[in-house]
Amino acid sequence: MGVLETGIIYGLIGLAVATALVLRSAESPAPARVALFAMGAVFWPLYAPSLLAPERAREPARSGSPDAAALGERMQAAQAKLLEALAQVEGVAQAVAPEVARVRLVTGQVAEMERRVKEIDALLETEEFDLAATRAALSRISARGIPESDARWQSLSVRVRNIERLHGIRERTLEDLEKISLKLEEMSSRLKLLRFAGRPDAEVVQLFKEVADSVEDVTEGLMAAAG
Amino acid sequence: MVIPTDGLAAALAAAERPPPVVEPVEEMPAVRPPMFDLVLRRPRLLDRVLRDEGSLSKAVQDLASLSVIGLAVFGLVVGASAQLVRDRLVPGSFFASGLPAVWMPLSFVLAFIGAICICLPSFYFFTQLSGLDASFRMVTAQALRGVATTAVLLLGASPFYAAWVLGSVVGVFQDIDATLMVGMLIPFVVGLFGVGSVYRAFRSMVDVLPVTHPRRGNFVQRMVLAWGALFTAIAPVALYRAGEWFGRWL
Repeated sequence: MGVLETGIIYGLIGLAVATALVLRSAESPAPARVALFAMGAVFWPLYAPSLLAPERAREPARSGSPDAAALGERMQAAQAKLLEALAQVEGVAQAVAPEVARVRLVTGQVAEMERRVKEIDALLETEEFDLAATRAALSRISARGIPESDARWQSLSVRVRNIERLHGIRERTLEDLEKISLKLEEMSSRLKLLRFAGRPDAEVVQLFKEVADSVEDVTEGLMAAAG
Repeated sequence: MVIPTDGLAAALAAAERPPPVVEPVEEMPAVRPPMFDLVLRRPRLLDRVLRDEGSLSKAVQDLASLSVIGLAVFGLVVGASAQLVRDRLVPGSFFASGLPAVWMPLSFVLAFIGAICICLPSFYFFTQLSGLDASFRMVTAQALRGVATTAVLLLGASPFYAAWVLGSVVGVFQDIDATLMVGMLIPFVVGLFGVGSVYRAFRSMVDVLPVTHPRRGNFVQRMVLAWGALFTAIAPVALYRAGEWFGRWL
C-alpha cells in the first residue's frame, strides 16, 4: 500500500472522527465546530480516544481513595484480627475489657459513617450534583458574555462550590475511616509483636488503652464534623 | 527467619520509588482559566485539570489548538525569514523551494503534532510498562501538554529569532543558511521544557494513578526519557520530509 492509499484511508477515518466530534459538540458555536472538524479530520488520532470514552465522567477523580463498602469490610477484618490478637496475649484480657468494649462501640459508629458516605455517593450520582455538567453550564454562560456580577452566574458558581464541598466532605470522611481502619490494624500487629518480644503485660495494657483512645478521638471528631 | 521475597521486593521498590512532588494545592476556580494561562503560568492547576477524566476531552481540544497556533506562528516567522532572504541563500538550499512563508508553518504543525499522533500508541505502551495505569486519553493529554508548552514558549522565542534574522538581513550575521537552520532547531531545544513539564506532571501523579506493578528507581524519569527519545527520533524526520514535500507544491 502506497502513500496515496494510506492517505485516503487516513482521510476517511479522519472524516468519520471529525463528523462524530462535531455531532457530539452540538452546543458549541459554529466557528468552534468548524475548527474542531478541521482539527479532528487532520489529527484524528488525538481525538479518537476522547470519542471512544464516555462523554463525561459522572464521578470526578477520587484520588484513589477506597469506597465506603471496601472500607467497611476492611474495618470488620481489622476488628476481628485485633480481638484475635488480644485473645492470644495471656493474662491481660480482664484488664483491657473496657477498651475492647470501646473498640466494639467505635465499629458501630463507623457503620453509621459508611451509611452517610453511601448517601453522599447517591446524591453525587444525580444530575443536580453533577460537577462537570454544572461547570460546563458556567463556562457556557461565561462564553455568552454574562458578567460575574449577574445573578445567573452567581447561582451556578454557588452550586459548583456546594458540589465541591460535598466532594470534600466525602473525601475527608473516607480518609478518617481509613485512619481508624489502619489504626486497628496497627494495634493488632503491635499486640502480636509484643507477645513475641516478651514485654510485660502492663505495656500491653497501656498500648491497648492508647490506641483505643486515639481511635475513639478520630471517631468523635468524625461524628462531630458530620453532625 | 523467613523473609517473604515478594514483600521484600515490594518494600525495596517502594523505597526506591521517586518521592511524590508535594506542591501547594491551588484552588480550582469556578470557571477554568484559558489553556494558554494554564500552560504558561499555572502548571499545577493544569495538572489537576488533566487528572479529571471528565474534562479531558475539552482539555485535549484546547491543548491541540494551542499547539497549532504556537507552532504555526513560529513556523511563519521562520518561513517569512527564509522568504525575506531567499536571494542570499545557497542555490538548492532546503529553504529556497516554493513559498517558505506558506509551507513552513504547515510543516511545523504537521510534523510536530503528526509525530505525536504516530508516537501515541508507544507512549501508552511505555506508560503501562512503567507500571502507571494511565488511560489512553490521559496519555494523549500529557503528550499534547508537552507540545503545547513548547508551542507557547516558541511564541515567546519568536521575537528574539526575528531580531536575529533582521540582524542577518542588515549584515550583522553572515551565514544566513545557518540562521535559518537554527530556526528549525529551536523547537527541539525549547521542547526540552515541554518534556520537563510532562515529567513534572507524571511525578505529581505517582500517588494518584493506579500502579499495576511497582518499579524500582526513578521509573518516571526513564518513562519520560523514552517518550522524549522516540519523539526526537520521529519529529525531525517528519519536519524535513514535510518541508521537502510542501516545498515542491507550495
